[in-house]
Amino acid sequence: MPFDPQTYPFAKSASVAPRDRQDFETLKSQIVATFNPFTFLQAILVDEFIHASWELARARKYGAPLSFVNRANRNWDRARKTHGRIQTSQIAAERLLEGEDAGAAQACPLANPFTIAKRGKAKQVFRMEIANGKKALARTKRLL
Amino acid sequence: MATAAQILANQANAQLSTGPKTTEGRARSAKNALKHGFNAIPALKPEDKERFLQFEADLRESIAPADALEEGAFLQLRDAAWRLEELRTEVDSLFAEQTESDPLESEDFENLQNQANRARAAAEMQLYRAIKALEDIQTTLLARYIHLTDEEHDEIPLGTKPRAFTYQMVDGFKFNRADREVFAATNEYMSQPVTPVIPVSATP
Repeated sequence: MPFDPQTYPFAKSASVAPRDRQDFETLKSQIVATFNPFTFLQAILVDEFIHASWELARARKYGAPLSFVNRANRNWDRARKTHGRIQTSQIAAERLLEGEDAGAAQACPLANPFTIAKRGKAKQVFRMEIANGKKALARTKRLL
Repeated sequence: MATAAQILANQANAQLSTGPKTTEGRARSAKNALKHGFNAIPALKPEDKERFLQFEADLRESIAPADALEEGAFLQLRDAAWRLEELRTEVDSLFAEQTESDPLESEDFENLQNQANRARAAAEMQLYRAIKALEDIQTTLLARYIHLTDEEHDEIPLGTKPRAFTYQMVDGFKFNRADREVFAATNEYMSQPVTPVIPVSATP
């Protein structure tokens, strides 16, 4: 069954005092709208980001041990970076790869196409060479 | 020293306190020495089994592990993500039973919070490492699919990084292996009268 962000229960295990519930819901909906996850793994990472953001907000409000804040900071940064990398790879694979390569990319959803050389680069290089050659020949003819 | 009558009485009394008898009672007393359980990896509870299987199926669909290497990394990722969710639920339920306020306001549970914090840090590290491993493995697989012929696929070991086989030197140029056919075709075209290029400086 394809992933549906509308039905996924984001950050259901967060510690929220009843008086902070409204703040938490606002934060959660803002983060989900910003990250817009479209796979289950991305949703897990967005979950981590919501938890980390909420923990940092609570630490600012109520105070917390340094180890708690450090861990939340680290998780905040890792979740953001990892989610961004995975989402970028998946969108890049859809837009950059063609034909059978695009089919292969669907079997490797976490593969990063930016680190793989593309097919057809040689064709582009030689087109450029040919264009340069024609220009040089025209210049030579003019001189002659 | 106890008399024979006292010894007999003690032995008779001891028969009345031999611990829990029922399965529920034994399960409860098995956790008598448990303080918080954050540092243990608990077995899956029967009531969570269905939720866990659904969680695994959803995660598997979004990652599509294909071989043993990917499966190993996938299982690490699954365990870490599940453990993180469990830890948060445990901490939340522990505090929710005690108080209506935020757990950070309570000084009584500082030690407990530190323990939970350490366990969560370890699980988070495992989660991100497993994701990174899966990204590396799948990127290599896709690069192999794009750039290697069947013979080369058998020849080059699976652990080889893409940069080792993605490019090849052909006539002094660095090309993708996959572009060799294109190179050959274009080279024929290059042999048309338009080439070779006469350098402008060489003309009279």
